Amino acid sequence: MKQESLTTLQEHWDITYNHALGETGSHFYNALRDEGKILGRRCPACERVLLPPRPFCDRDFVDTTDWVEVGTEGRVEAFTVVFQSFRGLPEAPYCIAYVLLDGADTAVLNYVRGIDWTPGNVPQNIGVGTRVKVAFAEEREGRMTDFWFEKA
Amino acid sequence: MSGAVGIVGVHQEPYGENYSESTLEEMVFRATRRLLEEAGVEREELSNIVTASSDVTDGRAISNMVMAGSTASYFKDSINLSSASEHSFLLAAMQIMSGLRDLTLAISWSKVSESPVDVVQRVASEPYFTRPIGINAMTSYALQASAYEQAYGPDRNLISRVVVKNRRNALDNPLAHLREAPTLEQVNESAPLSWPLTEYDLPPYSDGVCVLLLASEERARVFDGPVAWVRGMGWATGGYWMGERDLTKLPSLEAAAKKAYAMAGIEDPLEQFDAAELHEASSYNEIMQYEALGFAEYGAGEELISEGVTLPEGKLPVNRSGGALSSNPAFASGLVQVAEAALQVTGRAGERQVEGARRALATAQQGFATQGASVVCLEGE
Amino acid sequence: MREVAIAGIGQTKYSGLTDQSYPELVRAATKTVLEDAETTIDSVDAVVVSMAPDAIIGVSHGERWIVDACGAAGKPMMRVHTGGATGISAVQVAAYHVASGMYDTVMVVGADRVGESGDAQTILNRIWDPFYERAMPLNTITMLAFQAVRFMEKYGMTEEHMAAVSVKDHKNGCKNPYAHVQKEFTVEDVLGSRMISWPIKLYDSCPSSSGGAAMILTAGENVGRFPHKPAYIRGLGHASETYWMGDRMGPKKEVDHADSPALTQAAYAAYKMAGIQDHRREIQAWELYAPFSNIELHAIQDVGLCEPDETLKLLEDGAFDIDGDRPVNPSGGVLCANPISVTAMVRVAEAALQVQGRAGEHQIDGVKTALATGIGGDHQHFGAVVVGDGR
Repeated sequence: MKQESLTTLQEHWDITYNHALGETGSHFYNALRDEGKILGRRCPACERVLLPPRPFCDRDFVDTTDWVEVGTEGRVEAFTVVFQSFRGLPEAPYCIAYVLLDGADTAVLNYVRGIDWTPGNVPQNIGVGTRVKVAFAEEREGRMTDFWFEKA
Repeated sequence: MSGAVGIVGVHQEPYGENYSESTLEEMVFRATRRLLEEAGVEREELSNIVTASSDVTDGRAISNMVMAGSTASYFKDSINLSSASEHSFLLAAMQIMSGLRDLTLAISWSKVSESPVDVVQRVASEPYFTRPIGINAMTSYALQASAYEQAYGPDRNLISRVVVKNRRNALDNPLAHLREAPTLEQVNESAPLSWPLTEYDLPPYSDGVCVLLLASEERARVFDGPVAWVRGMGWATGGYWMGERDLTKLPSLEAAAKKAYAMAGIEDPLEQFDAAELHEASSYNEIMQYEALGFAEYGAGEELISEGVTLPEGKLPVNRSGGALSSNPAFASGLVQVAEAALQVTGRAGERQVEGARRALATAQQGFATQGASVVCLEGE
Repeated sequence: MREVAIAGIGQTKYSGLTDQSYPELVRAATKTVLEDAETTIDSVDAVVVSMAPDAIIGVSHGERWIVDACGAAGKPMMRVHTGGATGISAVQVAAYHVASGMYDTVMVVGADRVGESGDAQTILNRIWDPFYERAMPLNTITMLAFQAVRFMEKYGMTEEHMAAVSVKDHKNGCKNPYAHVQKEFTVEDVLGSRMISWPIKLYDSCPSSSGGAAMILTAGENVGRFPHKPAYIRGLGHASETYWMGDRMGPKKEVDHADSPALTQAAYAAYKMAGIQDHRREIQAWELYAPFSNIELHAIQDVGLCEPDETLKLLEDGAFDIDGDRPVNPSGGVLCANPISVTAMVRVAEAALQVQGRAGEHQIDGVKTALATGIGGDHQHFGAVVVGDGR
């Protein structure tokens, strides 16, 4: 009997979501875009300054209360340098890191730019504890990509 | 059944068109927080949480991940189901029956305003045969209604009166999404969207969150308020292919009811229940549920409407809350029916209270044309 | 609690590419488990579907699509989804079906076809919150590379330690006929493999696998109806952490992203329920969910298999080898097969095979009790199941 060829069917999901940002997210992005400020929210119970800012604290299960402007320098808490490109994600290599900005109690994720990476030079160029500073995009549009980190 | 299970708390946010002022995470946090406050329970006292969510509706590929903070799951046993919202309730009840858990939240949500409902439904059809045809909830329930229409030729006036009944009921429900009642003429004269269903025959799409607190018998005794005891529950799925099913009937609902009735000792549902909250996916579908649930013979469901049996003043008021035709937080709808039935048997349904309701029934359906269904029987004290 | 026993286990061979459709994989898993339990679908009272992100198979609420494939039509069916932990959560949900008295015999079944979407890591980027973190190239690899970096900082783990885990697991995987990757590596091979997301390299990573798995659970009083020596579900534990990885860092953190206290909470809850007092002595085989080599090391210490300062030394001494005194992942673990939706179920299945003495070439002598774990979300949802040979 002749071997029948098995086929595939290509399908693409095309769904556009309009996620509401809410008051907290909107204010954070407006301040980032218009004033070049990074704002955290303070939990009245544990008193942590949460960054990214959230309307409530999951640990204490209460609403957060105050806005706190955090510093533009901080400490790398975790990082990775990605050498493999994935479809829909940026061209490798690039570095992303969780940074504890001065005045914040939780680390925020963003790119670390300004370093040429090879698999061999990673630990020489960045580590837990490395000091970094925030660089802002000149044209900001109210997105996380409006800022990134560079070595201080 | 092992240990008894009681519902000791219900919280629903008002169902509405668009909660654009808050994120999904905030919406669910607020509802959960309010339930705990109303029930006087600290998060630490919870034994566990069961959530039910739909990734594609939420636009989050593991929707209980970001939502863990909102559902009080920080350092808690928290399991998520994605088959149906009321399954969160069913699992929570089984966990308590097993004696391994004793104070459990069941939570479900839908924020349908953030995505194109039609596209979201269409990717739930398999890609080879049905997706190219464009099957969605509306067309699947139209196929069901059409099959019923062909089999029994119901009186269109009576179908329309289901809509009028439920939408009028919603006037008494401050949480309902649609709170304007159309006249019989308006319903009769509305244009078909997918024959034989018109705009009025189909539910709206609502944003909403529903949270229930379940307790073991021992824990339930500690609460001051009235308890809705779970007397029976059942759920079942049918096959995927609509072409293989008898679309004039609801076999999965029948199977679910059989199990739930056997547990609860229900032999004559019309006599034994005082209120029913049925998740009606269309006006026709409510009539079909009457038949699957044993309120009427096949093809005779419309008589309950013509005789006024399911009106608020009838023998078995159905969908006193306004039902899904008035509020339909898509995926979360099934849990809403359980919540409303619990409010009825605990006398906490406010303006929509069925007087003296002691036993109530809730149903839910999921998938295309009632592929799956659940039934819950509750009893007050 | 009513006793819950494992009456049947079915696995397909895991592989990279398959011509089988998703329902066909589910069908294959179903057939295998029914054959193993020497029963028919009629004896199954309810079905629990183990299905992680359905975008990977391209059908939203795909559990409805596979009802016919797994024989659930006319039966109660629930689908569990806790990300990577889905499989172990599903076993727990099935156990509650039986323990509650609602149903006597329950099948838990699932499959994955990770090759179905060429965009798995793109889909897995969509698990992050859409507001702050999704704009970053987070995926399941980068999130666990962060763990590796913190674990290195906190405990002195090196890339060589990671490689040693990979070498051990791949060696074990060669003994497992179902494993997707059946190839031995040397430490040099692993260290020389392509860097994916520093410090995680290709051979530190799980493969993208397709295949299916299923289990049949039954009430303790029914075990006589099934052919194999029973294994009992003796302990269940489940716990979740904060979604926010950045909250697991800094001086005010309650947990460290290097560790997983919620895994500890889940494992100890399972020990307690099982009446285990000295888990290091009473448990003889450990199937710990670890999709990257670094994860196995933190899992080892977080389930209390050793003290945190002993882990690396014990690894060097071979304690976690299949013939060591604390064998971890005798099946080869997730590093040798990761059919996402069922990966964590396979941990329970493998634990049960060890207890039943049915693990074949990777059988460890004298296993009376075994632990299985699962991890889901962004290293956030943790499940643990203790399987034992007695009630």
